[in-house]
Amino acid sequence: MIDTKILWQSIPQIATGMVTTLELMICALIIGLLLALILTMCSYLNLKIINIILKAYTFIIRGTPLLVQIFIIYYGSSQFDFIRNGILWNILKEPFACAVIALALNTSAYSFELFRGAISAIPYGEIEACQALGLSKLQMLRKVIAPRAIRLVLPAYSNEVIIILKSTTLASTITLMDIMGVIHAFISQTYLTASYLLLAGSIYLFLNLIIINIFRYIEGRLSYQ
Amino acid sequence: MFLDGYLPQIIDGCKMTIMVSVTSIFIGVILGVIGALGEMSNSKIILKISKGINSIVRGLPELLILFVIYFMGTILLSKVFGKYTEINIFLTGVIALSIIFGAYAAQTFRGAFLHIHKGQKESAMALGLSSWITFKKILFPQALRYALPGLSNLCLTTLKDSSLISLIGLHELTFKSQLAATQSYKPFTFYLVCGLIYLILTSLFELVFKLLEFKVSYD
Repeated sequence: MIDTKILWQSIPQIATGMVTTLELMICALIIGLLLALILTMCSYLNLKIINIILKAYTFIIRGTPLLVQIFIIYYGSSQFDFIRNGILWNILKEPFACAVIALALNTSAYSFELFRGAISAIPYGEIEACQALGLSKLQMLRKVIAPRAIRLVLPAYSNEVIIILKSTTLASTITLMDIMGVIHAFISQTYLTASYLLLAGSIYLFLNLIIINIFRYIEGRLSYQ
Repeated sequence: MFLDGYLPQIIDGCKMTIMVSVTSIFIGVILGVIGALGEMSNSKIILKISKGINSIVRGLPELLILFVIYFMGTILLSKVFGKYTEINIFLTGVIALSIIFGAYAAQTFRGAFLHIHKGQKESAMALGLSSWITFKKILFPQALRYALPGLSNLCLTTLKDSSLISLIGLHELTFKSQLAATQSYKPFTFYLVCGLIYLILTSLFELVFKLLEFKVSYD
């Protein structure tokens, strides 16, 4: 049932698909992480208006399917002439950029919640101790809150990374040739459905395994012992 | 004209989305309980199998699981009937979503079952209740109470994941919006409406779960 020769020939294309998937994931994670950090900083200010905006942002992003978000950004942006004639069109006409934007917005909302949870999990006594020692707000954030929060958030963040890896498959719906896109194309060319699906599944599981181990390593390095 | 006359279509799509999600959630809860029991089983083989299935399902992209069931289901049915038979799309969606829901729910339920004090089971045994009655009347209701917050999140995920089924052609909300978007050349409007409806639906689901949690809480 499994035709190894045809599968073997498709390896180069699948490899390029894998590169696209990884590029998507890494770009989205970096932008999403930066966004989430900015959002966390904003929530740190404790202003009422900002808090309402942040709440609305997470509510909207977490309440709608990623697929619809991708469609809104990629297909929806072409409805308006001022976007099509503007500078932004250079970005929004590229499916890769649109997928990265959607994934980054998505992960920023989820990671923001994680970060906020981690910061609020730090005992208030420690903050008081910092104040008693006369540390400035920035020093306190850099030396006490951030290191503790990172340790607390890492296990949950590794889940988020895996979720983003899995979500990159949706980019294949806007013509991007990631692993899923390549596999889908091969299935419709060769009808070797079972073998290709098995291959795709093993690749994704393998990538998961790598991510889990990377995070285990980082957690080990950062632990107190 | 409001939404270019696509409103009835979109409402139809809404109904389909709710139907798929609710069916999947019901089957998923059952699968989740079975999975949790499997992961707490005393037999080593059952333990290994359920853990293996669980981590594979959770490690695979949802879209891939959907495609596997769609394509493999069609191949399997064609073999059984001896001619090309396509698997029902609604069924495919329900199978895929309930398997995904079940895998995550198994973790939630396992945590909930572990949360129940051992004495509960022992006193039920001391009263001479059969293991099925113990499970049905004592363990499950308590576990459900602990599991509800986790299940509420999973239900929202399932509702959102149901949009993926549009990719294999089920006429649900995303599919209908896509249809309207391409036919009317107003993609932004229709995808925005689609997103808003999902927001309303997720809020409704959340509300239902808040009420449920309130109802089953001790006080």
